[in-house]
Amino acid sequence: MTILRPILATILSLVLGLLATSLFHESPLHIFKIFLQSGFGSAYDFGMTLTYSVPLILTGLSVSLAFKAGLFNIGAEGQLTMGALAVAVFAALVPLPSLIAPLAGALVAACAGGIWGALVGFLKARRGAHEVIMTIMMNFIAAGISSYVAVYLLKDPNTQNPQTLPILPAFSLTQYSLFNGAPVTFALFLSLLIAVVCWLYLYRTPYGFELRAVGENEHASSTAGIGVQKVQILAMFFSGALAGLVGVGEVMGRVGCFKLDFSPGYGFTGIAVAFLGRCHPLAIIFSGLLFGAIQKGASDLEIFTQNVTSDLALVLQALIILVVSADGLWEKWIPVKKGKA
Amino acid sequence: MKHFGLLLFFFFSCFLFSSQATAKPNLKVCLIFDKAGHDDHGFNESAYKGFQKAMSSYLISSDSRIFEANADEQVDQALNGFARSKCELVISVGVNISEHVKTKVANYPKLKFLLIDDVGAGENVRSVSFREDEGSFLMGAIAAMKTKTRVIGIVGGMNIPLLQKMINGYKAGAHYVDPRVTVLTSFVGVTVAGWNDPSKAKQISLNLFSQGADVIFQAAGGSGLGVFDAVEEASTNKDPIKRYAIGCDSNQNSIKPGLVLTSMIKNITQVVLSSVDDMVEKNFKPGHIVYDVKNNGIDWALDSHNRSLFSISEIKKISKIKQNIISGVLVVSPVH
Repeated sequence: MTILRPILATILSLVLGLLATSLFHESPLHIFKIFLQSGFGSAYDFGMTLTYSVPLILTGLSVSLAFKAGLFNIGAEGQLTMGALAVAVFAALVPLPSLIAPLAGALVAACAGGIWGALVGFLKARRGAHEVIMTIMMNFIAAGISSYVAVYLLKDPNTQNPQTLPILPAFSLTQYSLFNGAPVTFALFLSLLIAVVCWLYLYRTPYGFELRAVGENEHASSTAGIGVQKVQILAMFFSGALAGLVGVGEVMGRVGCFKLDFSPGYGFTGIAVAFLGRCHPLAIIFSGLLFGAIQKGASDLEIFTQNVTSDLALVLQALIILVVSADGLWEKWIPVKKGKA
Repeated sequence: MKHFGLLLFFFFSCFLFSSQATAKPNLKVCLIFDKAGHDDHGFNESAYKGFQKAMSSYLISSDSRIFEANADEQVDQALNGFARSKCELVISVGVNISEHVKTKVANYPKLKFLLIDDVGAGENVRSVSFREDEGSFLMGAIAAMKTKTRVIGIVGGMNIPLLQKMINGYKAGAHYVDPRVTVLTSFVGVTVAGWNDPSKAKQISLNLFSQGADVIFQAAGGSGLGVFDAVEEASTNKDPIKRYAIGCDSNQNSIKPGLVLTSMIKNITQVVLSSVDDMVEKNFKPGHIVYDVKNNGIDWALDSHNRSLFSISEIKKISKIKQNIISGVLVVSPVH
């Protein structure tokens, strides 16, 4: 039943969203065809869909891991900024042999994002500061720091764009030629691997159990002898680290430097991805792919249709969230079996 | 075999005239904008105007498209889509987009590219850049001429090299007219969002007013509208000092008539149109074109909205400075 709901919700909102396009004198079927074509039509298209999906899967995981611990992490955007910035600086300045360079880069990205998240976790656990407010504010601080670095400290003098020096060649990940130029790299498998690891961590280890227990009921966990503060800090660290890993694909895989404002709101879309996947790490892979495909398809609409713009992606995302979260409606249509609720 | 081409042409024209009463233009042109969009009241909009003009005068096909890219990979995707949908000329508007497009031009040998604000290489690439420093020099000179407080300001979107070039030009122009003028500099933001935050630009302008500035040059893209709002507010609040704004990129005199001293015009509309014309006439040549005051690519705006702000002798003085830049008597150097 839990699987059925998001799937039905997705189909329903896709239908609604596509029907809406008929208001603008476009045939919904034609639009749907463009969507399919541009999301999965060729190796290149599919590669681009995967490229869009990777950061969304990671931020989706980041949000859901924190959510499992009862924390609402709106700061994935800031954490991924710090992760990407750290790996860009590290990869531009520290010469390493190409065997270990990408691994070291990934560690740096994860640690930077993790520390950015753990700061919030620490303040939450020790001082009771609300994590929503804190993470939002940390997003601004991250934006400020990254722009200081990209504009003043490590500015690439060869360009008008605010971006850091290019990374050393040893750090750049190879793009698979299979996808005809779409920048698909090892980051894709990394994100899939991480999703599985997250699932194992949450559901197959005592630490994961503690984390979920704290998320379900802080006081009960505390009574049961779980160090709630430690768990919260750790959860925010992992959550931040997952977001920070976005930097691996974006900096070492795709761009080759840190570009200011490179993220079109991956951290925020990640929240939607997490909720569509009901915060289940393996389901997030699919919801991430779906959101990636929507993003890819929607921007192609601008090229192939007269009246529909890429904003349709936002409409579809909003509809999906609306339909998924309309709990009362679902209870009426598909009642949960008694005794299982 | 000699007449084969003629025969083909005959068939082709028969086909053309039988299928359509009037020949529709079939040149497909595609524009890529950055996330400020095509209606930013400035740089992008003037490019869009060129596109619209080309469309309404039936130079280009109605299949022509504009695309607003939020991120680099979207630019890649757009190029791929344009190539697939039989686009012939791709125009990348602004340095953010052009910088990325220029690295990709080699992948699309069949497409022609017009890069605005950056310089690329290739047989299918025409690059266009502007001497903003010359324009800013003129604006600085005009501001220094009109200031009563001997304090003038410039509000930039964010601190990038282009802005430094403009600030240097602005300062040089102001000091050329009056060395005692103080130039205040302020930036709206530290991220790209700084180009699109009018309310913050307004606060900054009010702040510059309180420091004595009475002329503010906006070089802040979409945020610039906030500078105009600040000037209007000063005027409605019966501020004893008359405050003026200076527009940028397109002619913005009409946004707040009488309060906008002048605008630094970058003639992007013309740049777009002339490249479209060249495409229509199969005369598109690669290379790098620099637009400056001399070839009318950069100019100051004087129209019915601001003529009453200048005396005849002032207009003469400004024209003299412009003439000196054109003749090379006055050399504006981008770096100081």
